[in-house]
Amino acid sequence: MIITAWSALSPYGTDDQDFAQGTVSGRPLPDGPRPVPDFEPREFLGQQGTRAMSRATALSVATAARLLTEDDDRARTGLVLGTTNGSAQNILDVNRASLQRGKPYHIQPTVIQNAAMNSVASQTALWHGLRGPNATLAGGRSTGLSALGYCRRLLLTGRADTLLAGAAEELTEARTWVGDGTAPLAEGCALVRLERSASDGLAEVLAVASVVAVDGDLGTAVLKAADRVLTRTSPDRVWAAVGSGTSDDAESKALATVCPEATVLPPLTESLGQVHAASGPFQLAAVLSHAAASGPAERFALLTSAEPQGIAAAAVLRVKGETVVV
Amino acid sequence: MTGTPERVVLTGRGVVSSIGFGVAEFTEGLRAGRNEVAPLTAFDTTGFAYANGSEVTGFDPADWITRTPVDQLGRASAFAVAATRMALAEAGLAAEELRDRPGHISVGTADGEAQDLDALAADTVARGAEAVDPALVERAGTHRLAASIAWEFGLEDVTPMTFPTACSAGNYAIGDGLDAIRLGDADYALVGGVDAVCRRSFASFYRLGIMSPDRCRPFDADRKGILSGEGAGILLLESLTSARARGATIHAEVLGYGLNCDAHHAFAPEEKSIQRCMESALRDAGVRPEDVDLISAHGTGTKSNDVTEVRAIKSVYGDRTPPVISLKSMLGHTMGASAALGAIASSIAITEGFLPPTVNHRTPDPELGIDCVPNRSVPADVRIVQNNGFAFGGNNAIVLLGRYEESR
Repeated sequence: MIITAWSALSPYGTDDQDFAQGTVSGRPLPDGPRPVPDFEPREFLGQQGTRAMSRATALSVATAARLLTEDDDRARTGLVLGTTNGSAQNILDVNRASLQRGKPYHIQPTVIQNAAMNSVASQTALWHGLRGPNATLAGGRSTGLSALGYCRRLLLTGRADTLLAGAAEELTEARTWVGDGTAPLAEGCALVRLERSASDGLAEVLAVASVVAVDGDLGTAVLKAADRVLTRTSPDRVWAAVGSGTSDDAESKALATVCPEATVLPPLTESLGQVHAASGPFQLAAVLSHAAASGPAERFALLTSAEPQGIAAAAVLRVKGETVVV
Repeated sequence: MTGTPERVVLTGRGVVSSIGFGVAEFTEGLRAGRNEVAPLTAFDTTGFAYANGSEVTGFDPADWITRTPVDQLGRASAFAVAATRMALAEAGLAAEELRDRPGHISVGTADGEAQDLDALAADTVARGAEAVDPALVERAGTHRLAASIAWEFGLEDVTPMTFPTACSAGNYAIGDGLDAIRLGDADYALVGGVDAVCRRSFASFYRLGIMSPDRCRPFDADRKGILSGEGAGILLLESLTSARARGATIHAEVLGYGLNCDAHHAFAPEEKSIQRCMESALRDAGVRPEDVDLISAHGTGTKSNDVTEVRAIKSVYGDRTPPVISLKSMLGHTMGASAALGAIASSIAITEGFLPPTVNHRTPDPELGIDCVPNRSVPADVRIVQNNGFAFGGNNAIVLLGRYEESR
């Protein structure tokens, strides 16, 4: 499976280059909650149809727009998005309306629509006419890399020709509930474009694996997940490794242990902030940005995402700085 | 795919439903056309003109959960774990036997750990945003519906996927397990769906005007919509190689599935898109329409779903449309669990030889013109069943199950 493109709206800015340059240079971001600066849905998407959109949906629609082409067969193009708890804010808002208004059913239909956990993915598909597989996945912070595994299955079984995969997270009151306070909450959307095979592309996804920590030992689960994917290359060939970031250094230690020769990039929580379900997709964008900045060469990269409750996911990519010929 | 993909078979089933726990009770309920409807108790229904539904009663998590502290599981996770325990028991497998093998866990849901999310919202209303209990937030994580199964049964080498793709989610989960085994990623898959009745879901559907006051009457001229339901269905899928090697009883073969997206409307289903989804599921399964003996419909009992679904069925099946039943007439709308319970009911129709009925049926809708097996189950030789699942947002997924036959 080939990653042929990526796009990100991030706290670094609304352009892909903002993210790439910010990530590679390690530009510090402000303390506190980190929105996507200058992202005004109406400016990006127009007045029509944006009024009732959640911000996460707008981020997803705007990011997806950059990865689609006129030539794509939309009946064979799908979308797979990770999520934490859907739009927890809209779920909260439906409940509040039901509890606080004169009648328990005085709820705006648009809020009902946005509260559906599949809402961001299905509204993005609606906007862009994507009639291929449309899925939402909840796997905690490791959901982005798990979604890559799901996309691989969809593509290898011929269920789609092209998939966009990633996640959008918005800054809301409900989102602060799931923050652990160790990293600033960040907003954004990162998506990759995936195809089963392509004559050129940015990277090949060689393997994806997940391991559940059944005894609470997340560091060991990260190690095991990394070992599973590194069967597709040797650990001493890994050029760079990047983790999602954990509140202790369990993940960083695991990465340094499995591939001691690799450059371990700063965990996402230290560079971008806490992006929850969007961790994996932003890690992909970060690795591809670093590879592009390092010039064309074949390299292997290891990514791990850790859900603190006890899920570890890992992926290994074969990256060429610019393009990869399959 | 390279080479011949693994055939995938169903060897264990677990059911938590308003008409019984486990396959034996569920089978008797389907055969008898049981339908338990009562005023909802999951939340305070003051202010609604009516609030009836089919809740799961008599469920004690402690009966089913041994390893995980029971208070760490919300109602949906507890349902999922209980149904998994039943599925493993029916399959004759101890969890220890799965621990050294690569596995897959995928669970569909509409509302996640819905009662916990309701409770968090109520806490903020009653006591302000600072009142939020971190332990409850942790328990409310949607990913736990799949992960809790791994934790309870000590399954480390698994990919835990929770699909919150609304009312078709159970079929998404079954389809992904099917693909994981077909591709050789996993030897076995625990797949299905779960949901628990909650205020948000009830109030939302009530507001949208599709909540039936009394009973769910799919395909009836006087149908008035859905009824809240809840439960879980978990299926143990294995490669045929694995099932044969251990001499397992095979209840059905998962022949194939299809999924697509309407990209048409937030709430309204689209006929052509559903038709294409059926065609892709049949193609994936290598099944011709004339070979299908029964369709377990999405069949919500709303005006819009039933007419759109039946038109789509007829555009594929024409005048050879097989009986089309709706389990929601018996179970209510169990949301993310509905397609999974539908798949289990499909396997029961195959092994037990009867068509489950569409109950509460009084006046056939002349616009539909189908045999919905009204009110009473009918003995029948059932070889292949199509199990439909559709969702708001246009997330369609359809699974085909067939009697296991050695040569195919």
